[in-house]
Amino acid sequence: MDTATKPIVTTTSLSLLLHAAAIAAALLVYEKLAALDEAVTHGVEVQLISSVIVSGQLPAEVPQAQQMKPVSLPQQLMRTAEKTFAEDILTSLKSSTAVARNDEVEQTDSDRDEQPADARRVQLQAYQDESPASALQSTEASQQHTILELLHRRISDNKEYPYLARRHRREGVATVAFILHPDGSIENAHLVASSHARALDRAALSAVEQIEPFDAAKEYLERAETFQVDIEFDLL
Amino acid sequence: MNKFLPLGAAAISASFAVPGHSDVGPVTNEVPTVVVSAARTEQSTLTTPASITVISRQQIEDSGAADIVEVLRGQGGVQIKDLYGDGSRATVDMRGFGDSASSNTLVLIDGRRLNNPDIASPDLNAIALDDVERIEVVQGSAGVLFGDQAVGGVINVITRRPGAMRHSLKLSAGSYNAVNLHAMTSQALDNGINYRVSLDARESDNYRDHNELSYLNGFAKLAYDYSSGSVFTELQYIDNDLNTPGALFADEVAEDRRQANASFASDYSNAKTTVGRIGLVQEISSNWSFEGEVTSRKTDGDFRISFAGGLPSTGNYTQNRKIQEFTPRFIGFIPALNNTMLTIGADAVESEYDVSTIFGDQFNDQSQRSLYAQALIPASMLDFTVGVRHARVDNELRDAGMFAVYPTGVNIEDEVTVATLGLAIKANDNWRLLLRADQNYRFAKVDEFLQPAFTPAFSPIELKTQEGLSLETGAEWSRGGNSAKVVVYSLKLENEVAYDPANFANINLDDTERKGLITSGYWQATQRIGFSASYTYTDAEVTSGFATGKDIPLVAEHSALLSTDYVISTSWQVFAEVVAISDRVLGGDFDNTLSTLPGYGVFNIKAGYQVSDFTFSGRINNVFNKKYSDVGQLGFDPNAGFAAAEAFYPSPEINFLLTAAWNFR
Repeated sequence: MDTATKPIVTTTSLSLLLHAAAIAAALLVYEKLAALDEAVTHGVEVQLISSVIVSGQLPAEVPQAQQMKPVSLPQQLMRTAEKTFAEDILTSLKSSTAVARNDEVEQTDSDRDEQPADARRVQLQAYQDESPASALQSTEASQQHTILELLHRRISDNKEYPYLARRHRREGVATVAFILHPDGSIENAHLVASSHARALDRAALSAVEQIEPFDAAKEYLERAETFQVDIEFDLL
Repeated sequence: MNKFLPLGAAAISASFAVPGHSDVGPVTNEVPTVVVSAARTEQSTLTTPASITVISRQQIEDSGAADIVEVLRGQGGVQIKDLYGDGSRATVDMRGFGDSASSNTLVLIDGRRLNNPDIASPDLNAIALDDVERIEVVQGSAGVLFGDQAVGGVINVITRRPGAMRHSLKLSAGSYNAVNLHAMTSQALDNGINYRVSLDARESDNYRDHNELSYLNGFAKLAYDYSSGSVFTELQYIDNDLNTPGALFADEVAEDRRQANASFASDYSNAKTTVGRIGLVQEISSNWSFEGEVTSRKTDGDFRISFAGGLPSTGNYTQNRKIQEFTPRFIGFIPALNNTMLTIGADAVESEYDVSTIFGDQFNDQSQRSLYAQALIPASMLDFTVGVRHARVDNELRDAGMFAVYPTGVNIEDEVTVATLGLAIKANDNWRLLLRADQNYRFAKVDEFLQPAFTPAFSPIELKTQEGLSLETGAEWSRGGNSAKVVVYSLKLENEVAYDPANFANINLDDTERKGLITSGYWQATQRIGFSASYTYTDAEVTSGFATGKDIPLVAEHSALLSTDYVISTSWQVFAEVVAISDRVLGGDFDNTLSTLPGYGVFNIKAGYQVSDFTFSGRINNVFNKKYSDVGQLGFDPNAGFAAAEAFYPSPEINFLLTAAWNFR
């Protein structure tokens, strides 16, 4: 038996591991310092990341769906919505490393999960972005909740990616229209545009139908109004 | 014009009056888009309560790995044996099987089995790494869900799905005159048609002398997604030529570790593989869906193999394999039973395996049929899994030549039933606990029946089916970007099929037992730096009969991986890893009498630079230039009267690979 080889090798392996750990620790300390430095230089993370969104510098990697679609909304609503989306993106970026860096994380059904694959780099870009003027815009945005936001939230609360659709890797956008009455009831929820996958269409309709009764309606509506929502199913 | 009443702002409500008197407002109001997302890497597509480690596309790219072997090496619970250090003849070993690892770890690509009806290892290069979306490492046996050979674990490779039109071109060059080319184009059209075409070519002289590799892999997949399902067809062609330098005895290694023994000067192994596959996914109702594939794989190989001390072989031997599979299954939910998810399926595998060498010819057919069902019953905090599989095998074997065992042919049949019980407890958003008992099996390979036993004189050994029980428990934690998991298991086998080189025969070992611990974790230390670590402890030994108390050859007791990746800026990224493994009993040394194969630690680094559509990276393997052998085995040294001696497959010293990639639309 060549007994001499074994301890030498074990020692060398151990020493390698220790070296690696030391290098890692050094990198870590450097990194902490660098992060601290950045925080001082750039101020509050919230403003900076919001600024990227509001000033239209949204990196291309962020899914289109997260950008506001200006329809026939009043200016005030637009602002509010922008802020909401800025918040959403911020939230998503804050937790982005979860998905980008570790894919074993159990996903929860919240907007936080709507992250671009390489969000970590996006975040770094946001970090490095210096545009205080546009940061100001976003902090001025109204905190007011609107019915569109409330509907968005309630539908989001009910959204579900059907298991079989996930398993079969089906993606798509389903557009659902419905009439909301001041008493909170929903009428005539139907597909305006199909996602091209039956399972996703069903899930989209179901997410809308489940918001009934939408009690907040009476506070906003004098009469029934037609609403339309795009529900986008994305596998990240 | 405002159409909505701001909360509590009655004063301006008058302005909301809309002309006309219809019941419904005339304008459609657009609610901001609701995005429903799920991580592709979500573990739910495999309906097993096993602990699953997912290696994502991003992790693969960050590591700069050139092939699947480099990605898997050091992962928790995974041991790699790479004969030539180029991944071309590498084996994945889960749970410590050593020599027979390739028959006890199941490797799947998009659900297609790469394992063979004969003892040849699954071809881990059958899919180009650039075409991989993610790799799922299923810890432990999955006998009910996957059947034959899913004993130690399952490696499930998922390929990338076409999205918007994308093309990529990647060129690598490195040590030993290695040149790799990868070209790919893929697109999902609006009408539901999507396709992916890729070409992978690789040439290398490799580290050892007489080890030149030439590899070509062409792949095309065409799919059509319609509202209630999808169909696909894929075609693949792999041409793999390799000169095989064989093993070296210790004195030869000391003399020149890159040399090939003169006896092996004309040895090679070439194979051409074609794969055709069609598949269907069809929604049957809102709760049920059908999935099924028909696959045909054909490999025509020719090779030369010589023996140390003998004259170089001159004959061209052939080895041909044809496998046809039909794998239908129904998956559905039963709302009345708390949305219990049922998977009911059947597998049919028909194989032909013929080999012709100087020792004679073999003509083997094997037919496997199985039926399985598994239910996953969700309760408030836990998922309960129960399942059963019944499998039959029918072997028609015949051989000819001087060592023929069944010259007039023989029919060997067997059947086996396995069951599984599992419990996954989701304690809270961060913790998941797993408890699982899974029975597993592997039928003896067709060529294992035909290895003649020299003692007693040529009496055939009718191998029994290997059966086992895997008991495991695990805990998984994740929060934010951080995660950790630990799995503890015991795997007891009866009739483990193994090769006994002392008697040149395949035998059923008496009882064997493997116990072990697998831990792994990821720590996102800061925005820019992340650490990944895993440690695996494996205790694999024979517990009764022949070789009682002896360690299973080629299984390391300890293996560990520590890696870090650091995003320096939006364009620069570096990655470093240490892979360490303890010493192992040499392959075939069931008596544990030879000296052990020394353990080693290897340090690899990679730097990547990205600018617009271009990515450049360089990876250096074995930075500290360790001289080690990944694989070693019991050999018979002609210079020592053919006495048993240590033989090694020396692994590459420090080496590098530079890569330039262009991804464009």
